[in-house]
Amino acid sequence: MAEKLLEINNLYVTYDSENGLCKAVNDLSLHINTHETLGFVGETGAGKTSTAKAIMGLLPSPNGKITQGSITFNGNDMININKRERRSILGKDISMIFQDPMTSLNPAMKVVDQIVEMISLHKALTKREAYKEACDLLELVGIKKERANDYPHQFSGGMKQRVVIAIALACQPKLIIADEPTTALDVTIQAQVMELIKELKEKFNTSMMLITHDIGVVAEICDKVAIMYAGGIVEYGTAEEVFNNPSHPYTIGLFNSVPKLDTEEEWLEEIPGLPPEPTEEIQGCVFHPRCSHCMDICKEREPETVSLSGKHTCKCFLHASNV
Amino acid sequence: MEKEYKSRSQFKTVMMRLSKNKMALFGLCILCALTFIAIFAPILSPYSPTKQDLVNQFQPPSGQHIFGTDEFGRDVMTRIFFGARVSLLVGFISVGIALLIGGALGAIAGFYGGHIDNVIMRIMDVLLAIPQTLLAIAIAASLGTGLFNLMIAVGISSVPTYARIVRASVMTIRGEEYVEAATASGTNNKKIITKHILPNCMAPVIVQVTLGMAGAILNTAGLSFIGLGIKPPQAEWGSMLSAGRDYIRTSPYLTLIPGIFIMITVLSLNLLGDGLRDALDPKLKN
Amino acid sequence: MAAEKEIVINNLKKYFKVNNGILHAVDDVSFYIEKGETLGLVGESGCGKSTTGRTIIRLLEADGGEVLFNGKNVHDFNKVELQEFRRHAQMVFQDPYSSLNPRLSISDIIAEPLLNIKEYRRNKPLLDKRIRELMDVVGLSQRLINAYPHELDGGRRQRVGVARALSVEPEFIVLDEPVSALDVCIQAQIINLLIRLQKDFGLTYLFISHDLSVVKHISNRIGVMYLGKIVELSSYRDIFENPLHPYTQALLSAIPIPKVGLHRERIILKGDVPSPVNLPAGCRFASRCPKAQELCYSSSPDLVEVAPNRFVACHYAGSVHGNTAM
Repeated sequence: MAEKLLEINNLYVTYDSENGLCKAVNDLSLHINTHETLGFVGETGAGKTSTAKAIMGLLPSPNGKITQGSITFNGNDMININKRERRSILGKDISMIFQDPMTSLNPAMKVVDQIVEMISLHKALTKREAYKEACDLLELVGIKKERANDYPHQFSGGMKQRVVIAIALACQPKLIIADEPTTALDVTIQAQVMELIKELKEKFNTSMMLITHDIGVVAEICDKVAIMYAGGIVEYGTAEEVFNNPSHPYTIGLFNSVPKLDTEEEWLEEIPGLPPEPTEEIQGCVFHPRCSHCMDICKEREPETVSLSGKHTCKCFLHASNV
Repeated sequence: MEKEYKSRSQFKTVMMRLSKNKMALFGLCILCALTFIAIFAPILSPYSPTKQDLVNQFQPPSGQHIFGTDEFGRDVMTRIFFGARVSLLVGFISVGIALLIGGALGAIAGFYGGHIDNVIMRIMDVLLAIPQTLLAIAIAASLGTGLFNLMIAVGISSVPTYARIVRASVMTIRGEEYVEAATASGTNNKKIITKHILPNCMAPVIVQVTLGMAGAILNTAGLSFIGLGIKPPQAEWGSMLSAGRDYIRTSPYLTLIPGIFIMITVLSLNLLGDGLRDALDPKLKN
Repeated sequence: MAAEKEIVINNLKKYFKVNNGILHAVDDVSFYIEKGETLGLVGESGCGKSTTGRTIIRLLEADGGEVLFNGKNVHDFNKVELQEFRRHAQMVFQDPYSSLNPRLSISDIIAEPLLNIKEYRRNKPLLDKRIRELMDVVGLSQRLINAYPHELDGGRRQRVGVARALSVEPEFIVLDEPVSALDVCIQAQIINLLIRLQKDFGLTYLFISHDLSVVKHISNRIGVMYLGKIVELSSYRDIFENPLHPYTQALLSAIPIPKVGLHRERIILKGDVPSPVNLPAGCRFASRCPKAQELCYSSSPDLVEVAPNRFVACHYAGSVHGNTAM
């Protein structure tokens, strides 16, 4: 069966800020199997990007720290790994697609050279071979060879994101972490890029962690979904299970606050209030101040993660059998 | 559950942030000390800054004359104290003149753009093409020596620098949405400039003011050094440096001490400037 | 059915001079907005929707055409009339981070439009009372009255922006992507707030957004813009149930729908939006249109009324009746 490519257990990430200790990720556990796409959904500040950075070892030092937990990628302990080994994994086995294609490319370098750079870092190829491979990659993402020697500013936003994808794919990584890859793009261009990502994922058999706030995008390309709230996963399961049977009150609220295209409603259902500040200490369930099903126990204890069916889990007392 | 919101005035916020920056505080303390010295110079020193005492020529630093005496037997410490008055005054006023003229020209050029901008900035370019010190020398030479003329000379020579900085930040901020929002609210141009644009260009300007003040002090010292500044008996750091250079082999403290004071003043202004820039940025969280 | 037309826009044009030619940001756009309705304006970045909004309330000067507000052309107003007009037409901006002056407190920001009115300028307690009232209306806690924008989150900042626009009791508000920078949950809160305010105060909205699902939710009628022109304009139901213009169809099918196992034929448009600087002759959408014919490359279609209150700018609008939505 599918093997676990990335496994995170009980991860805690904190930042030192002037307002006190900021708990970005709290007790997060998840795994991604080979050839699987995990959608990582949550609002700003839910800890999505911090988790990704923890995996890549890119937490800003000295403020950001992993205080507990383990991250295992392909048999390697990614927390206690030395710098050199980490560098040999990053880019080669794990690569990243950033949100803003405008800023993630070096404006002073030809696009083909940026891909060649990535290839020659991890592969023993001659310059000419690397250049040829880079051109092939550009064709693959739908950019004509003739434009290989252009600079990033000569491309539109969608084209730049294609270049970023080509760089990410340069070494046939096992895992791609895509941080809001289509958020900065227009909707018709987003559709193009999504199609491309879907197609290439099939072709290269890559696993992917897709960080996004757009549940529509998740429904389209993800196998599994993790819903994040205030640093922890509140609901986790296959896309069918979570979308067809959302169970955590936050997930339900999140789905309902998106305007529907096929039905007409006068008011959107809203979750009252705001997500907690990451420095705030909340006793009990982190969601209880905003929850419409809040019970007494929610204010006292933190709920356990309970299994609903199959792989579908939910961190809520409503679904706990012993309450 | 709702916490009462603590409202803090902006001045207090800036001071609080500044107080966390040790280097800036250090600069501020030295500046305060220098200002104190300048104001209370006559009380702090038993000697006169100008009266000659030919018996005590070239006394090296001692208990009686902490910084020694110069070629006319005047107490160097006393002259440094009185010189601080001139240096700080010139620093403040000349930068004030430069900021007033340069800031106004820059704000007008940046806000209105087009032909007005072109005319003003080309004139500034011409002025910038002349080395600043040379320009100051030319102005000082044509106006004649004296404290007031010195301030004008140093001030005018740095007008283009301020005009450029203010223009650049005005142009950036003019494009911000809150300026557009103010226009949409029906606010007139004068109010938009004073309420929305200028306060938000403060940060680079304040940094330039502190650096510029340091530059002005150096410029004054330079002008006095070549004899275009303060007239001889009056004490001024640059002219002291200049007078001392003839005796640099026998009495090095005559050049060393004014030099050190110029350096300390400039350094403390720079430290304060850096600290203020950070403290003035409202986007930085406390 | 003869509702009063609050804003009538006739042949509005706005061009910008750029290095390599003239950018046709808004090119001959005409439409009207009825009193109390919301007109949604959608399109991709660079299609001129924001410029249209800004030109309507004369934050930008028009290069042609007219904007009639209650029958008078906004672009003929003199200084005094313009000042008066600003009390009736306001704007809420996209980015709640850059549309509030970081050096002013919340009360100063909300007070700004009011300070242009004599009675408020002279009467501090009245001003203060009005500010607190407005904060209540938009759901801001009064304890924030002396806070600064950077101390608030995006949702609260946008509430401040809405309060500022409401302060002078306008009849018409241009909402320029008011929720695009916000998280979905906060977005829902702000949309509900905007709908409630419209009902309470009888406001007329021009709602500009790139997000079709949001526009559909809030609008009575929707105009779809492409490269400075309106390509389709009809009621939100017509647009969603039976889009006539091929661009509208593609736009609709590009929206990711949060449902699993949905199999729908998507129209994926090829290529990018061409530059609005040197526009091709003929239909502006022709280069990306899956249904383009020879005629489309030579002559530009006009916006015509194909059915009552249904306007489409396509030579083949009659024959592109393919029902591809959903």
